[in-house]
Order: sequence, then structure tokens, then C-alpha cells
Amino acid sequence: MREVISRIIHSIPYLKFKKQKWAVLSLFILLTMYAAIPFEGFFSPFAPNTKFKTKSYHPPHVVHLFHENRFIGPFVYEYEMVNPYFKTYQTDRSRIHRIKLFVKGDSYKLFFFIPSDIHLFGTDDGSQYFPLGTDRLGRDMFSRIIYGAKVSLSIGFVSIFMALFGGIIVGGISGYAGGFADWIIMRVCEVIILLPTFYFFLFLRSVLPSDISPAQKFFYITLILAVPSWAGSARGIRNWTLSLKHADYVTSARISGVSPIVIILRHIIPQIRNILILSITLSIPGVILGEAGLSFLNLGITEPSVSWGMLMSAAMDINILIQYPWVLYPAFVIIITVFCFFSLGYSLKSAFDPKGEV
Amino acid sequence: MQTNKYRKILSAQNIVKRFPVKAGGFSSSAMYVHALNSVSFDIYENSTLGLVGESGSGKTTTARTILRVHEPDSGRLFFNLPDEGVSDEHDFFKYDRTRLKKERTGMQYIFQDPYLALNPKMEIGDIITEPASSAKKMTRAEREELAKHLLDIVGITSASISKFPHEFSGGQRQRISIARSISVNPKLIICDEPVSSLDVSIQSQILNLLIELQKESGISYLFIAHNLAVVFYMSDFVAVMYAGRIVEYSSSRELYDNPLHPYTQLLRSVVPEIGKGKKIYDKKAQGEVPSLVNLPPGCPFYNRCVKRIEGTCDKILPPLVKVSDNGGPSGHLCACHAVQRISL
Ligand SMILES: Nc1ncnc2c1ncn2[C@@H]1O[C@H](COP(=O)(O)OP(=O)(O)OP(=O)(O)O)[C@@H](O)[C@H]1O
Ligand SMILES: [Mg+2]
Repeated sequence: MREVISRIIHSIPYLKFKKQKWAVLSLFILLTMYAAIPFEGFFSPFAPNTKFKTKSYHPPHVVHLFHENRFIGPFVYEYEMVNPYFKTYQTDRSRIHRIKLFVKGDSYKLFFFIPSDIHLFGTDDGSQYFPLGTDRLGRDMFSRIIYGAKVSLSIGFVSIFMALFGGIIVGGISGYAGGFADWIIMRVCEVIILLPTFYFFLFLRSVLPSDISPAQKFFYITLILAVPSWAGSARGIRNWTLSLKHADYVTSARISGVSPIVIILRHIIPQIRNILILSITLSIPGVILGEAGLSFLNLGITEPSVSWGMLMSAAMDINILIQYPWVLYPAFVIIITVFCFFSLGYSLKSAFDPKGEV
Repeated sequence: MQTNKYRKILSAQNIVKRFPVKAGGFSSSAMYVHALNSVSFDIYENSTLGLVGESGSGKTTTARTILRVHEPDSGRLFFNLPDEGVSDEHDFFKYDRTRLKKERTGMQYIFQDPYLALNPKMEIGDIITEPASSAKKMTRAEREELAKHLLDIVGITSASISKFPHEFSGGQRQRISIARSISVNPKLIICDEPVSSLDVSIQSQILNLLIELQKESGISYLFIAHNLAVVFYMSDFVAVMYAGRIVEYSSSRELYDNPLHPYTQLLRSVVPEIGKGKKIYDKKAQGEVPSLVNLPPGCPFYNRCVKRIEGTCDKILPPLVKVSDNGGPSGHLCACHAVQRISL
């Protein structure tokens, strides 16, 4: 632990990106998003699959503070469905629902294990508040976006770490051992890198059986998304290993009988730590988009799980998009997330490597 | 000097090492850099062998081949054996992986450049205990204790244990390298130009530290340098290397008083503080070092030598033979036709 702390302190001078406002803002947004995941049930007013049959394609509620020129705090008017076929709603100005904090609602598990039914906000008179409207089945978009974060945000991390783990093992050994094994491994990686990524995803996905549990599905999709980044990182790590394996301190460790795998982990990987952090930051958005793409085509995460890409597939029909534009909100969330990762990544890049050497 | 006073700690016999080079153009024949051509020498317990020679003569290759960083092409090496009765089974070059790992802890290596020899991302305490903790399991507390002890020996405050290499000067780093090398109580430390990248004022401190360590623990050194003055200061024996061969070998005293090989005489004449003897060479030596890819058939020093005997030296390679009984247990060895002709 002491070691870890001293390492972190040691690396603080590198965080020169403090000066860059966008990067700090991006980091803040991303950290908030990730930190919110364990509180998903608390922040969302409803469970992701709670359906309100009479509220199909309900537009986002407008929050008011004044009722008949009198301040009464935040509230919404009741929207009543007037055309069940076209799902058009009319505001009923006589029925108001106050928005309150810490209201009882659907039960959920805080941190995935503490049972609770308290939500940050909502109405407590048996009505609903839909901040971002609802989908075809009358499910709250806002809640579903929050629940979707768990899959969409974690899939990036999990799959990049899988890729990195594989990349360190394969690339490290390939570069360290050299010879024929190295040649074969590198050719395989190059083929994977050269294949068009998304078609490759589709190909791998098509090989998967379709009758698998959501957990298995998550695992396989993550694995599929990891393959192209694995090939990329294996190649990078292999090249760095090759250039560092004749460093004096590596020779010194070798003479002392340190095993190759320990040499790779202790003497080679730490030298390229910054590059790895950078490549993780810049690869995550690709994976998030990959998941979104697969799920958009109904080949990724499917009901009853929720992911941003899957939510977006509701926006596939142009007519729906025009009539109920709020179904596009998940796309904005994806764009913002991807933007934040790139903005952070490029600032890190200029901080780690001011001369653009990498 | 009595012969039986000396016990060999290492005996290198006819080591050959060549590196493949990419042949230019479309030529398909393999070409080699002949870095070591039948190198033999002995190192005695509790003494220092200086290995001197100009850049490219193969000093580093000798060191790294002995350590089996490079695998030799042929030759035998006997290291740290109880008696002289040696057989192939005790050949260091034939040890398998496990045996090598075990036996090699008896040898340590100190690099020339203290800025490249220490992993910049590791704490000093971890760096200097790495050889020891890789040889046997150690707890954190044991490592810390060992690190403090070692730092104390080499004269660095033990509070530095969790600092990183970049926080130290070149001289301090070389002390840290020394601390690392003594962490496993080696019999032999190979010092590859350990001071040549340091300030002159710091050089003598490091040299004296090495001498002190030897006095206390009886370590042997293979001390590599291209500065003859430093070699004389440090060594009990000196081997002079030229183009991948040992051309002269004797005790340091004898070599200082009576250098025989023309190349040694050349080296000695260019050292200002000891070069007061008869000048047989201009400051600029004529001729070039022969290519190590296409070795000449005769003496590699032929084209630069003032004593060369035409018809002999350019045709026949002079062997390294004893030319006098002075100069330690194996006598004064010299590989020169001209010298051998006189001494016969
Ligand atoms: N790994 C290698 N591959 C190919 N050639 C090599 C290799 N290592 C050394 N050589 C060659 O072997 C010869 C001897 O080199 P070496 O480094 O042993 O010389 P040195 O005496 O240590 O020189 P210096 O005083 O410059 O350190 C040189 O010609 C060098 O180019
Ligand atoms: Mg050298």
C-alpha cells in the first residue's frame, strides 16, 4: 500500500494537464458517471423495466415553480394522453404533482447489495415524473439511461483491461523471447488489426450461440470487443519490450536470475506505464461505440439488460425519431462520454509527451 | 610471490565469441564479428585482474560472455570450484538453467553507465535487494533490513531506501550499483569501466570503496578499463586485450616495470603520469585496428607494430606463451613473435 501511494505521489508532476480546462471538466464528468453506477437505483426515479401502459412515448416533463403566479416549489402538471394511436399528450393544468426529494418508490439494491426503496427525487402521490420522457412501453428514459451506464461504461474498462492483460502476456513474451514465436504472433496480430473492426465484431458475434444468459452475453460481448485492442496492445507492448530488453537494468536483472515474466512486469511495463494509460484512455471510447453499434443492431446487449446502445436502437425509425425526439437522449450521453475520453486522452498525451514523440 | 599462495576463483579457457552480422547486398554467406578469439585468463581469489584495451577490443564482450549474457561459441569456464581437478561437468558454460542461476549468484556485474543500470521506476531499496530476493525468498522486513545494511556499507544514508534513482548523482548511483552487487556476497564482481563516466574527483572515491570492500570481504574483481593508470592502481594482475585476444598477461607490478608487447608499450606511453619511459611511439599510432569481420591470418597488431618481423608476424598468429617467470603464478605471458624470439 505504501508502495502504491508513493508511486502515485511520484507521478503527480506528470499531471500537467491540470492547466487544461476541458480535460479537467472531462475527468470530472467521467468520474461522476462512474461514481454514480453503484447508486443507479437511488438516482433513477424508477426501475429500468417498470412499465406505465398509459404513458407510452410520454414527452419529458417541464418542471414549474409557480402555479397561478404563486411560488409553490418544483412541480409538474399531469400530461394526459389524448390520442392513444399517435401518443399525443395534453397538459392538464389543474392537476399538479410536486417533485420531492428522497421519495419511496421501486425497490432496488444500493451498491448492488443493500436493499432500499428511497429515490433521490420523484413524486409521492402515485403519479410519475419523467425528466426525459418515456419509450414505447412507457418506461422512464432517464432511469434507463442511468441503468445503462453500468454496462456501457464498464464494458469499456473491462474489455480494455482484458485486452491489456492479454497484450502484456502475449506482447511481452513475444518481444522478450523473439524468434519464430514472435514472428507468428505478430503476423496474427497484424491480420486482426487490418480487418475492419466492426465487421470483425459482427463475424465473432455470429459465431456465438444465441441462447445464453445475460451475464454470459455480457462476458462474450466484452471479450469480442477486446480482440482488436488486444492485438493492438500486444504489438505495441512487443515493440517496447524489444527496445527495452537490452537496457542495462534488464540485463542486470537477467544476470540476477529474475524470471522473464517478472522482468516484463517489473522492469519493462513500468517504463511504458504512461503510454499504457494513454492508450487505455484512447481505446475505451472505441469499445463503448462498438458495444453501442452491436446493441443498436440487436446483436449486443438485449432485454431485459439495458445499455446505451440498446436504448438507441429505439431511435432506429425516422418516424419515431421525428415524433418522439427524446428517444435520442442516449445518443447524446454516448457522444458526451466519448468526447470526454478523447479530450482527457489528448491532454494526457500532451502532458506525458510534450514533444509528440509517441 | 609464492605460487601456492594463489587460488584460482575463475579460469577462462579459449573462449570464442562471434556475432552474426547481416551480410551486405545479396550475399547469402553468413558473416561474423569475431569479438573474442580464444581468450584465456585466470582470476585469483581476493585479487583483481585488470582488463585493458582500446574501444572495441572485446572487454565488455568478455565480461558478458563469462556471465553468459552472451552464450559462447566455444571455450570452457571454471568458476568457484573447490580444487584444480576440473572436468567438463564443472564447466560453467555447460550448466543448465537451474545450475546456472544458482552458480551465477557468485558473480556480479557493475555497469559502466550508472544512469542506465538502475531501473528508473524502482525504489532504491527494491533495486539493491533484487539479486538477493531473487536467489531466495525474503520477507519485506528482511529486505528492508538488508537494504539499509548495504546502503550503510557503500556510504549512502539508509533513509534513501524509498527514493528513486533520479534523485541521486552519478557517483551515488554507482555506489548503489555496488550495493546491489554485494547483496548476494559474490566471489567475483565484474566491473565494466565503473568510473569512466564519472567526474575525476568522484572516480577515486569509487575506486577506494571497491578496494575497501575487497579488503573486508576478500572479493575478486575483474576490473575493466581503458585507462592504464586506473588499471595499475586497482589491479594485482593485468590482461591486455587487442582485437579480441589477450596479448599480454602478468602481475600488475611486472607489467608496469617491464611491458613487453608493443601494444602494451603503446598504451603505456600515452598515459601521461606513467609514460615517462622511453618513447618508442609517436602520440599518434600509425595504422588501424584490423576488421573483426575479416581477421588477418597473422598478428592482429602487425600493421601498427614497430617491431614487426615481415614474413613471420603477418603470416603466423603469435600464441600467448610464458616469456618469463616474473609476474605471478603463471609467469609473464606475451603473444608477440619479436618478444618470444628474444626470450628463447
Ligand atoms: N551484441 C553484439 N552484436 C554484434 N556485435 C557486437 C555485439 N556486442 C559487441 N559487438 C562487437 O564486438 C566487438 C567488441 O565489442 P566490446 O563492446 O566488447 O568492446 P569493448 O572493449 O568493451 O569496447 P568499449 O571500450 O568501447 O566498451 C565490437 O566490434 C562490437 O562491435
Ligand atoms: Mg565496453
